[in-house]
Amino acid sequence: MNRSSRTSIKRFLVLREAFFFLFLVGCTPSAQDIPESVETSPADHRVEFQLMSDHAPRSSRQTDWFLDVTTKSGVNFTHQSGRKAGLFTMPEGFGAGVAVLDYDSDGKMDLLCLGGGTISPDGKFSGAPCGLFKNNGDFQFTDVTEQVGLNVPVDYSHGVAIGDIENDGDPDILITAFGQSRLFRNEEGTRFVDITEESGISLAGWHTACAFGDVNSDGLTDLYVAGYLQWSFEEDQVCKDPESGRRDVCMPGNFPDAQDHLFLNLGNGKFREATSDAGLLPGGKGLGVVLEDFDRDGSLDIYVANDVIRNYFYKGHGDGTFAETAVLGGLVGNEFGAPEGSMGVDAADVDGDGFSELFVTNYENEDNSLYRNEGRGLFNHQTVAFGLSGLVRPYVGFGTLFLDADLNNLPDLIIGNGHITYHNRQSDFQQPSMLYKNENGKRFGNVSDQAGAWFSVPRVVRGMARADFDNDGAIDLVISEWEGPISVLKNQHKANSWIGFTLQGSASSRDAIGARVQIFPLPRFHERTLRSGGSYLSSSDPRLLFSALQKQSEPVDVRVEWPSGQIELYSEMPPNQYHRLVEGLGRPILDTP
Amino acid sequence: MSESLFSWFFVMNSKKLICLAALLLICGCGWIWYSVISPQNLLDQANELAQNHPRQALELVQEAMFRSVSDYPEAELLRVKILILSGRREESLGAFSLIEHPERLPAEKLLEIGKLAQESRNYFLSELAYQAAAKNPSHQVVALRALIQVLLFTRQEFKALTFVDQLIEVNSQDPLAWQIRGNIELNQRHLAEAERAFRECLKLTQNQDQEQSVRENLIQILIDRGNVREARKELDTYLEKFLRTAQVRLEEAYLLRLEGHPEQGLERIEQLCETDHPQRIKAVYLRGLLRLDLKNLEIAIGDFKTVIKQQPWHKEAHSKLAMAYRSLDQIDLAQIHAEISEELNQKAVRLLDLTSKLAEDPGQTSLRQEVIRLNQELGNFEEAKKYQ
Repeated sequence: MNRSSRTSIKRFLVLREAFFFLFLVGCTPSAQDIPESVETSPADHRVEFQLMSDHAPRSSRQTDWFLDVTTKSGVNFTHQSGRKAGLFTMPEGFGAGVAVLDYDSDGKMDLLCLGGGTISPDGKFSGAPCGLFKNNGDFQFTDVTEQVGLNVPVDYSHGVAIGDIENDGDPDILITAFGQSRLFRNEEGTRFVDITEESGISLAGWHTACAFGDVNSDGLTDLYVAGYLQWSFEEDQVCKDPESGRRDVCMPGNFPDAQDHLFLNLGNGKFREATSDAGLLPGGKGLGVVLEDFDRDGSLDIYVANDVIRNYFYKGHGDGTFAETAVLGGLVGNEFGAPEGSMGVDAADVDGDGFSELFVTNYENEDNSLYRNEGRGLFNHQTVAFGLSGLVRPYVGFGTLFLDADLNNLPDLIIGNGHITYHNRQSDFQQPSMLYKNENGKRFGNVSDQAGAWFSVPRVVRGMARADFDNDGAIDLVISEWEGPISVLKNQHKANSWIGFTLQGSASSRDAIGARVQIFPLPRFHERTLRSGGSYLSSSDPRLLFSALQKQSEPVDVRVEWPSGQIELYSEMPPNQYHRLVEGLGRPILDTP
Repeated sequence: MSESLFSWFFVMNSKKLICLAALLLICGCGWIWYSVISPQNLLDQANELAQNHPRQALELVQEAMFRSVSDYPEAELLRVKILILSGRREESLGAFSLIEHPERLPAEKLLEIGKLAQESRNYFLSELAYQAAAKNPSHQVVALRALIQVLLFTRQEFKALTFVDQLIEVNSQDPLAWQIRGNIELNQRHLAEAERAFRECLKLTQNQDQEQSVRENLIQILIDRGNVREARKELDTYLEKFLRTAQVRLEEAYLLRLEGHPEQGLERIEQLCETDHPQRIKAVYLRGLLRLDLKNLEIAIGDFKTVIKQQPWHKEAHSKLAMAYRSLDQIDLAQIHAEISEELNQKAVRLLDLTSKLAEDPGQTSLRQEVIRLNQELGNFEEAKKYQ
């Protein structure tokens, strides 16, 4: 072979190699290229310890808004994520919610905690049992899980909704899961029975937030359940941090949406799926749901906080059908209408104009969104104007609640944070939770340093619910953490003049979601609305509470707009206690005051 | 001495003369070989011809390579240069790959190849040449900087970061390296890391222009991170040393908005809105936001319309315009702009998705065309050009 022919062959080979190299540089392995066997390295497991650094809380002060009373409360419950399997599955990061309910109708709010689950090395998910803690008063709880029959196997649990599906006065429980979601009927406050199969609620797949409410005005509470992703271990992808090359959980955008569902209550614990008739949009990556009559037209509306894609606002027609109006309604995402990674949601009348604002927690580098309700289903993104822009941008927001923590009758705001990816260079996995004080309905001020010792420690917060556990008129908190304990926080403010109500519908569904209550004489922010859902995968105390009454010891009159349209007046209600208001037992009135 | 030579010449016999003539001939041939047809000489000639007569230059290089007794990397490098100048991209890349140890070649020549390749948009070759040059300690800093520039241009920011780290390793006191790092992190929205890098740069820099630019970025980062208090502090420090640039005016107005002082924010940018400064449209948009905050709906609408006229793809302006129309009960107009904004948002999401797919499979022409089209429709003309 002469020299020139050798050179030309060599050149051909080099060119071929060069093109091959170019191809390699531009390509990353596709999901199909990745073997099914799961890559775990000792480094991945080591990170587990780095994830959960120990932080010592500061010591408690008398002026703290909340005091952590978990240790003495008897609530000893820890969530499991299955992370220890080292498989970086999608469901393991989302945590689980908590629910507050009076399951035995003794007037004291009990506590239901969801356990999440475990994952075996070959990717099989098993649910961890939930825990029901009976409130004995004075922040003392007893674990009654076994006693009431809730120590049954459930799938990998996420969300919880409480609703009276048979109008019998006993709150029933829906638990959503990665796997089969389950409906438990409360049998006279003594036992819970799994009625999933006979109820007609068939929810396999991955479902998260859920809420009960009568959306077709037939006096029976219906059910909305958000779907998250179509994900399975078999079709999982291997995702790596592009910079460090370390394996991490994937982003939700890598997987298709899961459908949300609406189930209409047929009575006697039976439901009918009405998803397509209701006009729900296909797909969705829902993590937060709240039901309320936001536009005050007498029909329940539904707001769904979606991860990665835009949020949905279903304006209810009162007959079980809806029109999705988030785009014109100004509720799709950030200030400029772009979608965000939304997780938790709550609503309250922040500025005292009679319309409930919506608040949505978002992913890092995104502001949380406060949507001011302008009426008629129209909202205006007002995060900046209310001083809520910025401070939480480094954090990933999950559970959130409006609650009048300082008992001045203005809804304050609490936000729980905690990352979802393990190896984030920008921010820690454990993140601080925040407390904002409502400043006269115009702005929020950060008072996290006064919130309490619990707040001084970064955590991985997920679910969150409000409850007046000791019936003292001051709202307390219960918070769930990813792979962490349930925390019970006692509100340290002393309520001088307050009044609370449990609503019981008759013509309306017994839960009376959507009812409005006003008290006289009128202090500012004198109106409360009963809503369902909210926070993140959690369910709060269903009672309505008013603080800072104008005349401290004098009885008040109460006006209730029931979801049925009935308006009634309840007279001379003594303050500083809870009252049960039953629809039909008040004095009917026609005009607004 | 001369006499003896002379006599020697006359006394030598014919045999000796022949020997002498042969010797002279060999020397002459040697000289001719060395000065006219030696590989090095051929290369020198090729180098001279490279710019204007690339074909002849290439022939000379090939001849030189043929005449060399072993591998001739210098010739191969020159061949690469000529191929670049002839616009033969793939061949130049192939020829460069033929060089077994390019890092052993003179760094100046590698830098020249890198530059030529970069100018002819042969970025991969440029990257390889700069990488080889960067192995030469005396030219490492220059080569790394050039390499980082190419990597950033070709949007290989993760890779660029690796070389920025090398640059910092070579000289951790190099403020430029920290500035580049900060810029890369900022582009990737790694705000915490960007802030860290810019603060390092500020500790080291003696250059006023650099300090000003870094401080401007720092203000932006602190605002974006939501750290209003720190942003205010940083802005005050900036204003003690420098005059407000248009960018700083915008940041200050935005900061005032976050602090709950939209009226003061308006004052800061009013003037900028009336100029033909390149930042004018940004200023008009921000003025619209501030006017909307102040419920001056009609004039806010005017601002958003101005922005949309210039930049019909401005989804945020459409969204805000919809909000303003809605507040004035002009629902039909609100609906139109809300839908445009939504459509643009969906395109932006689709673009993100397609861009990552294209990164996985750069050879997909239809995907590339779609990415270019979406970039153009969303006003990202520079990005579109890069894909072209």
